[in-house]
Amino acid sequence: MPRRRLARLILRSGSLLVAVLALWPALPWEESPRFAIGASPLVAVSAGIATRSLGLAAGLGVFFTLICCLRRRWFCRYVCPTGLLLDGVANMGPGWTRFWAAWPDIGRSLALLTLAGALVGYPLFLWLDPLALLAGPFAAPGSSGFLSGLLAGLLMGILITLTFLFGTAWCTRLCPLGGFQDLIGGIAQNIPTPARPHARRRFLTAVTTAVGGVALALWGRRAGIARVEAAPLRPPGAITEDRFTGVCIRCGNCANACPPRIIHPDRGGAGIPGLLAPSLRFVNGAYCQPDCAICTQVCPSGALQPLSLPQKRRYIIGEALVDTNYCLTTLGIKDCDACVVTCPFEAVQLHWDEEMYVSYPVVEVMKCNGCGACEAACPTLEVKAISIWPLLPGPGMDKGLIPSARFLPELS
Amino acid sequence: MAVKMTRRDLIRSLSASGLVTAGSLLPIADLLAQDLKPAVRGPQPPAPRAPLAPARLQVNKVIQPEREIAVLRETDVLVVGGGPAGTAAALAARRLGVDVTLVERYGHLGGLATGGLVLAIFPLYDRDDKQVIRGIGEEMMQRLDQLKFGIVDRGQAPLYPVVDAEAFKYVLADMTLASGMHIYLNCWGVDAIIDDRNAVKGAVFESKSGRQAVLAKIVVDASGDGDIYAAAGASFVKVKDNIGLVSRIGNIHEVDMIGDDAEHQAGATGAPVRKRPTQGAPVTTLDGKVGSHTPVEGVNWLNMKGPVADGLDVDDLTALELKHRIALWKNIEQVRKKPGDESAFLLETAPQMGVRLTRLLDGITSLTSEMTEKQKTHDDVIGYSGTYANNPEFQIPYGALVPARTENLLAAGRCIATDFKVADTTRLIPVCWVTGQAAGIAAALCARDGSQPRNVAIERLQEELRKQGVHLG
Ligand SMILES: Cc1cc2nc3c(=O)[nH]c(=O)nc-3n(C[C@H](O)[C@H](O)[C@H](O)COP(=O)(O)OP(=O)(O)OC[C@H]3O[C@@H](n4cnc5c(N)ncnc54)[C@H](O)[C@@H]3O)c2cc1C
Ligand code: SF4
Ligand code: SF4
Repeated sequence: MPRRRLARLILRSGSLLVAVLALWPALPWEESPRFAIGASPLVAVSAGIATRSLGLAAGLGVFFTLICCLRRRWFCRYVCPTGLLLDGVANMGPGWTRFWAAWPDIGRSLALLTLAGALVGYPLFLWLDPLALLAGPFAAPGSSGFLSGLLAGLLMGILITLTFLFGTAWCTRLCPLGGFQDLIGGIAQNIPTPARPHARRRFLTAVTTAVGGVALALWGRRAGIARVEAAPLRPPGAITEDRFTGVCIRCGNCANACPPRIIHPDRGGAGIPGLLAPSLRFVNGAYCQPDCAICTQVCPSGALQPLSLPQKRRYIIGEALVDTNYCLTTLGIKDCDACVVTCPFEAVQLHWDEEMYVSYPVVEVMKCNGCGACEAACPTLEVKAISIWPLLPGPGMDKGLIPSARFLPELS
Repeated sequence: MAVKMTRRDLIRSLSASGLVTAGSLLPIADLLAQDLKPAVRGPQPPAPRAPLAPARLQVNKVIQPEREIAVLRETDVLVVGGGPAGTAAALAARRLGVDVTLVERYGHLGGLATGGLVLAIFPLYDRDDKQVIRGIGEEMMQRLDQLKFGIVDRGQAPLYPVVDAEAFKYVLADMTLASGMHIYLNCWGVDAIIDDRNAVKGAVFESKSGRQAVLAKIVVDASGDGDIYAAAGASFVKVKDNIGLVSRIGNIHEVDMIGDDAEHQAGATGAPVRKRPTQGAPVTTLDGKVGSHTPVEGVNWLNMKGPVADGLDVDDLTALELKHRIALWKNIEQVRKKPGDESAFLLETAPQMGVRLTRLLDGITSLTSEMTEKQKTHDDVIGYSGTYANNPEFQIPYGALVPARTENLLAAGRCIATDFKVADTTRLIPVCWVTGQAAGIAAALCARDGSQPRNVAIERLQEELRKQGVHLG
């Protein structure tokens, strides 16, 4: 085996090992899953553009991007753990390559669409990043419920099947990260000049694709805004819903890291753009722990902005709303005050309404951060009498990645 | 199925058929001692009367002159209050063979669980749905199992059993009488009797027979309100909580509820789907609420939280009791307007006001929510509380039944030494059984050895608890 190929094999095996350990997560450093995916040049750059911010994790990805500018598909050859895995799978399958040999370079178009989308805050196909796909299955065992687990590993499963049947179709034709490297490699090494054949046509195609990407991205964001009322509840630190479904790469890091296991991939209740994006469900007594912000610290794309513990405590995940039509106490079914005694912030009180002659829970808005403890404790079965709902758009609710209106005032 | 007959069962069946002669067996002798005295209808011959000592108005102050109080009975263990805690305490103490006297201010046993129409029994189970509260409470439920319309939803966590109040009164009367304890009903504990060392020696009662005393080696305060420990000078924290009035509705349509009952009920009013509630939206009123099922078909019980009030204030209690009854009558009129429920009627409003918490003892241990949330284990564990409101099951220490200073006294039931938050769980019926049974055994052990509750040998207490079927982990 030539020395160079050996070196590549060793490097890629090493990065596969590190990635698996980081995503497991088996490394002692709990933020490591973020870096495992943030290392992807496509994620680092597109998410950086989309959120207009570069996190610590993105440093690695940007560094790799620079190398890729100078050396063609360097990331594929020396780093990509998914690529190594797929190479192995491809060797085992029938390798029906003729099906796609004549396909255009879809990966490059995906990368272009994604970058163009990122410009308007909605990096369209970032969820197809191979590192994000690699992470999916790791969330599967953690997700509670068979279906959620299945969904979490779904994309990677499809990818492996695809590769088994059709060989390296993904890496050479479809992968947006590969396409991204081709793009930036092309920019740095052989900037198209009018002298080169088809340059005009290529340029025009690229421009059209980019414009299409912007349009699609704007549609995605609009859909997010239109959906706001029916949107699922997002984990803490989530950027505004219109951008969230675009910036989130569906890696499942947050679901995998969440100790009480309340993060579940959305099953499509929020429409196609929100498919598989993380949403919160408070079942089996589980709720968002006041002393935990780990999901925000493992998110590689910035869809969940990192929050410190003190910030997280003041961050409003959602609002606790009471439907007295279901409250056992209001209905006189049982002497219940589960929500009152469970709330870690003493935000719920039972209020005796002299006129109505019934009691019902009342939530003190300035104390409630939407942790869901009350919803988890409410003993009704199907419909909870007290439940957490996403914040509605209101004054100041569209300012910045996380509007400052999402924080409770400092409590003395 | 072969039915095992215990000695107590035998005695009971024999006595029922009138075959047992007085004095042949101790429990029956005692039972008969409580039977009626021979009486003739019409005017009665003059009888000796205790010297009168009415209160005197002296310069705008009402003064009660010093007077001697007749001793009604001397006993080993005096239990004041015949609710879940008091009945469990008296039965448990009696099983150690000591003389037990149980005094109750109303005309039935069961306290809030019967007279208060609080028919739902929870929390019984731990997080794995294993029943962690057994002992005498479980025996009571087993007796109810055997009665038609006695109890439903047994052993089906997370559902909780619901009892019938009359069946429960019957079971308690039967169990207490058969145990051979001495019972006084319609007899209100009004004062403690203490000696010159401030140790409790019994209690003073008021009844139609006037003011009388019961002397005891150990007194168990199971009055729910700590009436006796307060009178004896023990320190406590006074608290206020919601006070409601529970009721039962008859001829109500079958509502298959509990747990998802709310949904069911909302389904009946046409809103079964989850939809975003509006912040601060108007609530449903008490306009035809039907509560949830009881063991008796066509009968529901309707719980009421009520406003926060002082359960030790006669004005508050009176005002609320009247208001609640009026509201409940209006409610039933609304119920009858619903199709299918035209013949529903207000079967009864609870004879006993729904007073939740009034006094919490200063014990040698005060059970705090930090302890229960962290599931602290106690060397002097006397039983468990099941899981409630997302909180895990937790151990109850003996120290929470023992007053910090006052001697010869134990507390049981909803007035034991806990913080207000924990009291929200320890006040519930099964937990009152647990603290009652432990207080009863400890009192009997003390009465037998002439020792102090604070010095009880914990191993012996725990051994006896286990023998009586209590789950100690
Ligand atoms: C409205 C309401 C709803 C509830 N719902 C539930 C529920 O769903 N499930 C549950 O498990 N628990 C429930 N509870 C709690 C539970 O019913 C009571 O806390 C429990 O019965 C307390 O038992 P206890 O023996 O300590 O006191 P009590 O049941 O109050 O018994 C005390 C007894 O002592 C008597 N007594 C009081 N003072 C004196 C005196 N001075 N002299 C002589 N006798 C006296 C009383 O008449 C009474 O019989 C509810 C309570 C209320 C008020
Ligand atoms: S969500 Fe519920 S439990 Fe959490 S702070 Fe708000 S009211 Fe309290
Ligand atoms: S926990 Fe649910 S049923 Fe119980 S009082 Fe709160 S809202 Fe009502």
